[in-house]
Amino acid sequence: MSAKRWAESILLQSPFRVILGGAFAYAAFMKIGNVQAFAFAIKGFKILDPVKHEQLIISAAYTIPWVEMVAGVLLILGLRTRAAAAALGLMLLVFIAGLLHVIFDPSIEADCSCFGDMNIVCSSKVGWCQVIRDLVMLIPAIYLVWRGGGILAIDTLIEPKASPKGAIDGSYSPSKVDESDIRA
Amino acid sequence: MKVLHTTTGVLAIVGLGYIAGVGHALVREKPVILGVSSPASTPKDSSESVTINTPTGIDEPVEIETPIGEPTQDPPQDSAQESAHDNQDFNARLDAPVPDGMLTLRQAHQMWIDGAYFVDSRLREEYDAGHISLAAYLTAENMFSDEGEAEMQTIPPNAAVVIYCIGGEECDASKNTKALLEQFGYTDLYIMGVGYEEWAAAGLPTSLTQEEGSP
Repeated sequence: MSAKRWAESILLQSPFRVILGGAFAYAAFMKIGNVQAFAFAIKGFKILDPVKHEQLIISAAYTIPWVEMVAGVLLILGLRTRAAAAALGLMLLVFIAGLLHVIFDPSIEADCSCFGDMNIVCSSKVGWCQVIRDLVMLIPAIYLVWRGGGILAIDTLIEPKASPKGAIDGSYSPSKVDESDIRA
Repeated sequence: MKVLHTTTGVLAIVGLGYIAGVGHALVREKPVILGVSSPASTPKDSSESVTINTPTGIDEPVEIETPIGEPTQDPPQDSAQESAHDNQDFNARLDAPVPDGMLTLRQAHQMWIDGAYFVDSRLREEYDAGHISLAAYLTAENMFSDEGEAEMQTIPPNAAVVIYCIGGEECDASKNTKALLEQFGYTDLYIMGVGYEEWAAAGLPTSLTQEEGSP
């Protein structure tokens, strides 16, 4: 495997996986510990009418943290990295839409509850800080969907070996096929 | 092919999360509530009377006739005219309109005098920056923690409890805390219709430190 591929994995993909996956796993852990508070937080965003959609909000309060947890752990391990990063990226887009809904409606004063009752980088009240934080987190998510988990990910260990040399490390191209590889 | 693989992976993750969430809901002791089904139980009309079971060891409930009497704190005495003006302003603050089913500042203050417990349901930093004197800090965030349990142990379940946040119809935190306290067996719950800022602006007792008990 090429040095460039190793460098990318060590400097970008692995840190991205651990930081993004860790942030989501931690956020999920905090929410799972107090689903009740998270349900109130979802209600506070006033996206859904709590009288008409009470069960939907409660279902979301149970499901969202566990999806975050599953995707976060998979991302840290580098197992189904692209799917995990895509799931987290989609969740970030939904979160950003929810935050913008609150920001542009001055009658709503919502508590983010993004990391449970912990405040990381931003205060607990919804504002532009959380939007910027989510946009920043979207960068590694998109990168990982594009490039995969890297050499240190479990994906690389378990994915089926392609026959031509270089198919795994990305250096493969039809013009580079060695005749000896084909014969082997 | 890669897109299909990723899409099925995303669906599998969402499915796993959903199954885990259902499992979590099944093993959770108390059901998650949104506090939208129980109507507010407090009187709004100032001609009605508020019956408070005082939490300070008095056996007989105290009947408080509303409108409640004059404020206990004297306005500044610079001159008679200023005094009258300040008194008028003070009374206007005490009787400021509140959403249906919530206590006016005057009613809440009278309950504070008569020994009701007060619960602050705002953000932690807001509570730390100043709260109604003797108010406990209880929110959906800390109610299931050791801190929340310790706070609740200081409040008898049959006590009159007034919950407040930033005030107004949009202040969900008080309603959420009220719904949760109902789950814990509290029955005599009230929401103060105005927020802490109005209480402090009226010159009523506030504190920076955490104390226990009722006045």
